[in-house]
Amino acid sequence: MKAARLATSFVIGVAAAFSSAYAQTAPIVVKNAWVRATEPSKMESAAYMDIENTSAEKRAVVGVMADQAKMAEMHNMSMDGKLMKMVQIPKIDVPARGKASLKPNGMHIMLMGLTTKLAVGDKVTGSLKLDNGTMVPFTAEVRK
Amino acid sequence: MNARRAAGALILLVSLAACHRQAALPVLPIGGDFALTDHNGQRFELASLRGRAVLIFFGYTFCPDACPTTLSKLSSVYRRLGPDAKRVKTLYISVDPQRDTPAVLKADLANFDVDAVGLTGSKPEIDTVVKAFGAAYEIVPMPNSAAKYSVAHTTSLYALDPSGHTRIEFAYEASVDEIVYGLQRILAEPVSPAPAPAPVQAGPVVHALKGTVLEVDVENGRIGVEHEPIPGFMNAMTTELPVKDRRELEHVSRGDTITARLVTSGGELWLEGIAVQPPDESKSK
Repeated sequence: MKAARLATSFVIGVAAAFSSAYAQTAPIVVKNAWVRATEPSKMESAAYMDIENTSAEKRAVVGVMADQAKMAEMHNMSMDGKLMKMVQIPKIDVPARGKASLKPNGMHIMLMGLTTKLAVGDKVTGSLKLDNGTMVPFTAEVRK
Repeated sequence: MNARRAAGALILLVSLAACHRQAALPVLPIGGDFALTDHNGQRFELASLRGRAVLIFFGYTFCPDACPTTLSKLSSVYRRLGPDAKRVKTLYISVDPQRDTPAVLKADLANFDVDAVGLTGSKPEIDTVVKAFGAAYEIVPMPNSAAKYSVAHTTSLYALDPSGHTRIEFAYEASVDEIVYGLQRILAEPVSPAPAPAPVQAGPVVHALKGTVLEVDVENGRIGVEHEPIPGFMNAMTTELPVKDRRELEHVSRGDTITARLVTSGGELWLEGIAVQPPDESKSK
């Protein structure tokens, strides 16, 4: 249900991204996006990126979807005493004129139910849903 | 507890190793031989790796973030080892047997240039190995996630010498250089004249155990015990062991000195024949 709704908003988001009006008003940009390569039978991977906010208003990412995965969620890896723990997080804050960095051993986007093998050099496309309702498209390169 | 502190101190030592050469590596009171199921679905015994250094870590393949980081670090370690790489085997022990079938482990490892065996097994089998290494894990429910749950786990990397003794516990943050240096030290040691841990055998093997009871869990059929060394099998350690017949636990309480048979068979390990020793007798022995 949720995925379908997200998917619909994603289509709108992508369409909007192609209009220059959208581009000018999009204060959030995704940079250095990459996804870990997988073997054919592997159903999960992780996406990493820098989410930059050029505006003077703080934003948050509240949802995410990727075209090559059935589900995408925001997760965070952290140390809880001696245990390394992975939990789902409801949002990723992106400070005004700042950025949120998603990198290994920290926040990442977990891709579940991959619909294709992710070989080095492939692209993963998707979008981030912001707390103000905007969708920010991203293209991530598959790396080892 | 002591083992953990010792291991912590060792991690420090290892990180200082670049500046100071120190005395021979100690033998850590953790580990021991075990049997699990490998990524081809075959029975695997640690003892089959005698003569090679072994790296062991715990993880789960569903975690797409930290576990691949360890594997990619290890592929750098293997590259750096050069010809010595042939003398090092890596064991990736899953703490998520529900999702990590042999096939899943195999696919996961195929992604990395590491001479590794993925190991899984029943939960009791895995728990036995986890405890033997002083590691830990816990299931973290994620009710709103399609993943349903994740597994929090300790992240040490253990290096074993060619006779199967645990020699270094590396912290997760250990660099490629530190791991390569540690392995080179292990591989440079003269062959140990000390007897290797007893190889795991197919049939039941019985060891005599003597120790002090720390905790009794009748409901789950488990006993916490601080036991004396079991020559050729296990160093003295504090551990929790399953008890085959939980009725045996009804006459045991915390603080008792016990003798028992520690049985291993087909990768399973349990206590039976528990006898509480009168305090006088245990002192006179």
